[in-house]
Amino acid sequence: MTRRVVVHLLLGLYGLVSAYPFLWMVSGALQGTKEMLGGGHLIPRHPTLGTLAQTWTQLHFLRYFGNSLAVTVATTVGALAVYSLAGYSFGALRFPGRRLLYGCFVALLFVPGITMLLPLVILQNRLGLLGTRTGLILPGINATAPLAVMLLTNAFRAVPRELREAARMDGAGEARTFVSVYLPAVRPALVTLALLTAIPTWNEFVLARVSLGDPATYTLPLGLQDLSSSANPQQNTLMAASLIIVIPVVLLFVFLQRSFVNGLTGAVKG
Amino acid sequence: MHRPRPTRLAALALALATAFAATGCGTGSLAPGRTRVEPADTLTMWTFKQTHVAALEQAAAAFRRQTGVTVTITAYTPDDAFSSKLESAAATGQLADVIEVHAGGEDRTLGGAQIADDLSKDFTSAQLAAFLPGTAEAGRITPAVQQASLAPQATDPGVRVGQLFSVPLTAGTFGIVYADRAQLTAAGLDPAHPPTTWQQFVAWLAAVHRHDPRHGGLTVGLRTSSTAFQWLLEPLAYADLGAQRYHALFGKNPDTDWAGPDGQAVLRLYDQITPYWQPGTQSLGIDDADRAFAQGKAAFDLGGTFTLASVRQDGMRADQVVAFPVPAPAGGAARTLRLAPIALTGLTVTTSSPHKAAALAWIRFLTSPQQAAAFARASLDLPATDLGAATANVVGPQAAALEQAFGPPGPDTYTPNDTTFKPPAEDDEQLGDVLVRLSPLRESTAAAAARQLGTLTTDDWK
Amino acid sequence: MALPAPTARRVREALTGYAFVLPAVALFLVMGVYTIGYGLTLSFARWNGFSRHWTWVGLGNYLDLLYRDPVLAPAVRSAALRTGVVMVAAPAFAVVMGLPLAVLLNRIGRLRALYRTVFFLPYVTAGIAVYYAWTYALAPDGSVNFLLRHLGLGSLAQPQGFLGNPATALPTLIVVTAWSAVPVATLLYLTALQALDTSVLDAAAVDGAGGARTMTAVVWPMLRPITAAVVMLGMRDALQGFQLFLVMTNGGPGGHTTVLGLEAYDLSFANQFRPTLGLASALGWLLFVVALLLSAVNVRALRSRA
Repeated sequence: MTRRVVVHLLLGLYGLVSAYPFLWMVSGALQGTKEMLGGGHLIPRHPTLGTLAQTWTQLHFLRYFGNSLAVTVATTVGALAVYSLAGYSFGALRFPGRRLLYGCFVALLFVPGITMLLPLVILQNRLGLLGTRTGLILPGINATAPLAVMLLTNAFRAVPRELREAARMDGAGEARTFVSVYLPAVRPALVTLALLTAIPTWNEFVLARVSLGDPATYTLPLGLQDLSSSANPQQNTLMAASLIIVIPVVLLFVFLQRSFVNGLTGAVKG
Repeated sequence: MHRPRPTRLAALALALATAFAATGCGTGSLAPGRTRVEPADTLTMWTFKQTHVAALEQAAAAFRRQTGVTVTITAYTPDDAFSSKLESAAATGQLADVIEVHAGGEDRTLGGAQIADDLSKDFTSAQLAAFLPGTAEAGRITPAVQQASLAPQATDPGVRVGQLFSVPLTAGTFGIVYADRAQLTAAGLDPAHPPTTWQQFVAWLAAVHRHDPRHGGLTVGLRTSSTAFQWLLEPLAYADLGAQRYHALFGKNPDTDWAGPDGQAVLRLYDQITPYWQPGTQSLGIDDADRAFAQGKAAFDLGGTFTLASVRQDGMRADQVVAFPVPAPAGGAARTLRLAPIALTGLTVTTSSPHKAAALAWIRFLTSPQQAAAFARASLDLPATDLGAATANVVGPQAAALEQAFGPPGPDTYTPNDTTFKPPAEDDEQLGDVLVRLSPLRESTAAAAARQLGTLTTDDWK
Repeated sequence: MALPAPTARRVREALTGYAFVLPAVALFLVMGVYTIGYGLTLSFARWNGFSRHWTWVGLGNYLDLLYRDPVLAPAVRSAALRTGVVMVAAPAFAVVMGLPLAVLLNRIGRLRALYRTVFFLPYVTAGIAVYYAWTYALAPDGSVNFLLRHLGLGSLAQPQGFLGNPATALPTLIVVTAWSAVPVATLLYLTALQALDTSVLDAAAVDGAGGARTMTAVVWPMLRPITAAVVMLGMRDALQGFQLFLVMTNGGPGGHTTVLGLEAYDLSFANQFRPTLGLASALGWLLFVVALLLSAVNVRALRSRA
């Protein structure tokens, strides 16, 4: 009994540490400018949704939100499509050169992003994609390559090869085997990858900052940075903006966490 | 798009006529109406100054009413966001038509790379005479600038004597201290008589700090450590040593550079302010520091003429502030330190712009006395356009009073942007880090800091 | 059919394999090859990002970074030292916090999902929003000092702010780095613990091994691959990451938190248009080599899991 209390106490304590800046964001976002200028309180004395509403409408966070959503969804879907094919190929099929190719993808993990930044912008321009969402999406997909390939290769490898043989006996072609036998089997891993792609994409700001020009195309992190360097930003507004950025990914995680954890378990076992 | 009505056309003609009269340009390359002929109804402009955006947009609205040309203003802040944006845009040829840049800096870099257009044919000396003395030629390549550009580490390779890569927009200077009037009074000091010597200044810092240790400190954005070096140490060193010995601090002789007795003496003077920094100032950006001052969290704010605009934007009234230049040490080379007005920001036209004529029209419009005055009113920044006696009316008495810190060229006048005597590879951020480690961090002594500055200077000459 | 059936099948499988990796390879060829080639070429040149021509310097940039430049080389060395500290401390912190949390989480039945969600917040929210929030919290008049003073721990409060005191700035950034790395570590450990064969644990219990002994003698060795992965990811982030440092201190105070990633960023984008883009690129490739070497060292530990 007491032991359980201690366990929960420790877990609860770290929970507070984990949520610490998040709690301040919530608290700040719920305060009006007047209360904030008076020093602010951890628990708002006059809680209001006005700050959030104002940030959302007047400071264009609705528009930034839309941009972020489009980029994140496209990058995630793209990464799932491209790397589930590759992962299947590496994990379930045998062909000469696959180890080498796999190694190449994994080595990409160590290429430092900062070195790639300027060349990437020049490339975006050559492809006519500078300042566009597609210009962020393609490198975003490519950047997930090492992680995605590792994760999905492991997941596909864990699927018993007999399934493949059985599907072939049933007369299923390669495409159908992949779609109706293998993909369902690695669903948790796909969810894991989706989250591991969506979260960093949602939060990305270095590439967006150097490649996006028109404020109408800004993503949320850029909107926040723009706001924080604007004339006399108020802390409650900044916190509200931060909260707007953070909430969707938190919700996404809450909804997908079971599959996410299962996917990780699969990866760890495999 | 609606067509301009006759009254608007009349207004346009009138405005352009005034602009030309004011800039001494009767037969300029740009006759009224010419911009209508050019198929340029949209211009883009970038700036790195958030405090300028509203004023520029206001001017753009007036410009559109008069010419039908829309100017879209975009700000990229903070500075590293701006420079990374410039770099990526330059590499891809996707620059705006007009860019507001740090005068005597980016304009030359862009010019040397043939990204900024040479405006020497578009702005005659007579036209440039409409700007404050000392600012007009900020974008000009002098023989000394060209010579310096030949060094391998130079930032502006490719520039040639005579080229002009920017026209000044705002003027001002570094090395101005702002103090909170109320806190001064509370500490028993007389705001009407600001300190005239460094020693008095230190005494003021001490008095206010004693009275309110929590909010009575000095602040500046030391997160960009070059601020302390450029805005405080350099003017102080100049005032103490005079031009010749000051220049020698950056020279190649170890007996007279920072490591020598002169450098050590200046750093000992500088070290006197160490106890009086606002706690945490070393973590603040330039804007954060201004905001802290405006919110009463610090009693003194170090900056330049542009700082007034910033603290006013942060909600402080100008009459709550006393401003004075960094005072000269008693017994120093300069009795009263004066600061030369320099161009702080300039306007460049990019070579990639298909609308050069419209861009030039916009620049002339923006720097015309009428618009410069409007710009100053809206941005609270000092325009480079010489408004003469009208300045006080335009920028308000406090901002105009800042001009009292300005001095004519001479031994007692410090010119902040003069780098002719400095090593080509000098990096003020590295020098600033040394200074921050001395004060406020107290990690080294004045002598040790002097030695480190000397070593860096020596290495920067290699 | 000229080919015997198994061979035909193998050929078909191989062809499918190639066809299925094609999109990934094609994307890499478009996005990766150009950027990597460009970056590598640039590392042998001097360029300010603007001028029309690059000045070729051969291996000059690498030599300057490693020892030749009297100003830059020492700066790189001290940044390397700090990066080294972060590379050791942050993953160690993540392991030391992550494993016990996972063990505790593994013990409870109720509320596990809730704790898991809360513990995962730092990862989910990692980005400039949270870095800003931390910066405010750690300021002289920020909430951390406020809490310490009100909890009677005023002596731990930092009057200069946790990021303003050179003695605490880097450790604080390490803690924030680790704070955002703990979630993944915890979750990986937790999934591994749940995947552990319970019979192994039962056998250990039967042998009379106590909780602590089971942990060190049985569980810890079995978790080695996870530890290796956590350490590897942490080291990579420490080696290349700079966003947190850029947003929270920008290398300050007085240059005390400049790490190699930030140095590379400064050389490419915040160096007042000095011709140092090649240096930045060269520094990036040096980091790449170090990361590759580290992973080669680590690869044995990772292999042992198979």
